[in-house]
Amino acid sequence: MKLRFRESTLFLYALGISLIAFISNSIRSIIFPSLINGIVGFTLGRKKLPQKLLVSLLLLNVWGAFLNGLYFHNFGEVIISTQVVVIREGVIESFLLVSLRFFLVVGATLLMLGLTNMRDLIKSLERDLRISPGIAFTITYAFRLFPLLSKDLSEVYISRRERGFSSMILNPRNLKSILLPLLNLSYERAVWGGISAELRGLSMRRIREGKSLSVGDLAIFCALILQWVLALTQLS
Amino acid sequence: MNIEAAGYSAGDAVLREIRFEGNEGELILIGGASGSGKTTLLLAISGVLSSLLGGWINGSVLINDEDILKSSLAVSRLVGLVLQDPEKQVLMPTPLDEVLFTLENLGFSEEEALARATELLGRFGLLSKRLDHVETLSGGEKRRLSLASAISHKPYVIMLDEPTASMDPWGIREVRRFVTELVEGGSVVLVVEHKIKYFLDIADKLILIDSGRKIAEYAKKELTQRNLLEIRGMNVDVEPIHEIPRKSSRRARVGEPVLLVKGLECWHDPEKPLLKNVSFEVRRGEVVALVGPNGSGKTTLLKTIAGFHRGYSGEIKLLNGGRRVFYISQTPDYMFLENTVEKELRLTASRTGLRVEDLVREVPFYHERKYSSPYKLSLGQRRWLTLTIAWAYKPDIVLMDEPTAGLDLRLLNTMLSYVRKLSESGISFIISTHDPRVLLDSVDKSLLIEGNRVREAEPYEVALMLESIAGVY
Repeated sequence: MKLRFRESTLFLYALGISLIAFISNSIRSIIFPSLINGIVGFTLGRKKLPQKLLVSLLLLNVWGAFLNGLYFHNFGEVIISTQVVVIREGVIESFLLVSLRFFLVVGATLLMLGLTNMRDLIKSLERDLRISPGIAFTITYAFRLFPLLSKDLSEVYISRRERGFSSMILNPRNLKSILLPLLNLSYERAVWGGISAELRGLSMRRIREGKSLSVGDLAIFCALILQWVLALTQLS
Repeated sequence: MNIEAAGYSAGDAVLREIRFEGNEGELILIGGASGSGKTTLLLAISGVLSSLLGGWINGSVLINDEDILKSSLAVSRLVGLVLQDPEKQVLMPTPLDEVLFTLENLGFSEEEALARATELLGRFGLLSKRLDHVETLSGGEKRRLSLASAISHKPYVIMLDEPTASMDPWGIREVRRFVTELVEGGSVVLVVEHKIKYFLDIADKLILIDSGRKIAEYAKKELTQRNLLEIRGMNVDVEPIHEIPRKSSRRARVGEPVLLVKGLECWHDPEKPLLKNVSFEVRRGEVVALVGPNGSGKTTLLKTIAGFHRGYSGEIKLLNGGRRVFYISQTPDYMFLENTVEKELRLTASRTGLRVEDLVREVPFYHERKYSSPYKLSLGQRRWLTLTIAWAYKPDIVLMDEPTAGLDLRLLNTMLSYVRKLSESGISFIISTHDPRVLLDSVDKSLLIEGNRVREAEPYEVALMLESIAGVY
């Protein structure tokens, strides 16, 4: 028997899980939801999003989290000491916390993307959550940009190599020079995407009747509550 | 249609006094150079300029006596717009979703929308790919999908913004066929183009605009040789290749070989090689055109030569002291790393050892745009800037991927004159293209991709062949 659920339930799930990342400030409270959502999300998301993008995202995060730890949390007992850098306890803790948060947010989003279709998601957000078509479209269109971002990223890396820049992100300046073309291209796409949607009657869209909750929806809500309870008990 | 004035910001009119009429079953061709206001005109007619982009329009667009600018809800029912770049128009992950999106927005029932979408995808040759991800479609297929989704609700007026941009001649022929079908089906079709030669024979009316104003209007019977001669002076591409006098070859100026490609095979999937047994050489200062349809492997070949594509076997060798190959992507924006032109040139200077002044001298628009973001430059300026950056790295060979896509005749000639200037200083070029205009007097030889083979061909003959495929003559 196929478990049926509303796409909006998965959206609420991803939103609810992402909130855990924002309230958690300890590794213990976040580790369980992160691993569950990260593993399931990345496994399901592989089918919908290019693997290259996922790997790039992971690498970006790992490096970003490490640099963040090194610059802002390098205190506590010395763990590694070399002639170039001294890494203290705080770096490791901060690195793990940021990485787990990332794993949690991206994992939950990928889980939603892996189990939904963009058009059905728009419909479900409108029908079940009464979100206006414009906002529902904006949310879902952001996910359409992921594969395009992946293509852009590989082209940006080629151009960087041509100009003698490393594809590794070593400092915030490197990060800026990678994000600049990506954001500019995405912005331009978003403007034309908005024009395309408007011309194809997005503002005329009528919200139809919603679907009632199913066993699948209840199961998803239970999983969400369970993870919140686990996170909150570890938080205190 | 009567637009007295329109613009993006208050008091700054981009369009002025543009009036024309269209009847059922008519193709109205709107020509003009880049930046003349063609796309803005379409955005104004569709009402998007004021309803979405924060602009303003004084005037009216009447369809059956109803002013669609005053009843914005009617616009998307009555008008279908195909944007210049299908990548930016396609919003959904699969072709089926893409067509259904329009129909659902406009209130079609799920059953009717599905039946209509299936029928349309069949008509546009996309039925077997209806559930594939749109990113797996070729450029031509995406163009067909954007057409299908724009006309799925049978709009009264269909507008196409530069439908030949980035299209190979096979794709252009297809677009011409679809446009003809739409006109025969009774729609009013507006095509905005600077390469007007592709639609001149099927157009009922030609309107030329410049600096946001209508400068001429010709009915079909007025498109005589005399008038066409007059139109040639207006910076639109009206002249078919076979009417342009053939110029002598540039080959005398080239030097010793700098690149040797021998027995090259390229693939994404080793079971299905994209190109087989490719062999050619490039001489110092030589400009070589690499010609082939969309998806034939032009970009893959360039990336292989540049060392960015690893799925290959065979020999790629730089000769006679050649050391550096520089690849320029079709999208210039990938190249920029800074947020002003000035910083971009400073960064380039710091990386290449050149003086900033030397770089500034190469960029004619530097002083007026030095504080602009490179992303805000016009397409022609962005392409120019990428070529200047490439030049700064002192390459022996520059590989340019579709560098003329989206450029009007003037910008194309400016870009090609820059290529010629650099080639005379000893830089060789391989330019991937399916644009016949590139092959006229700027290249020394052309390499034609046929099937998965590459053969050398005479550039002028190839240009003639491309225009013949597109249906120009």
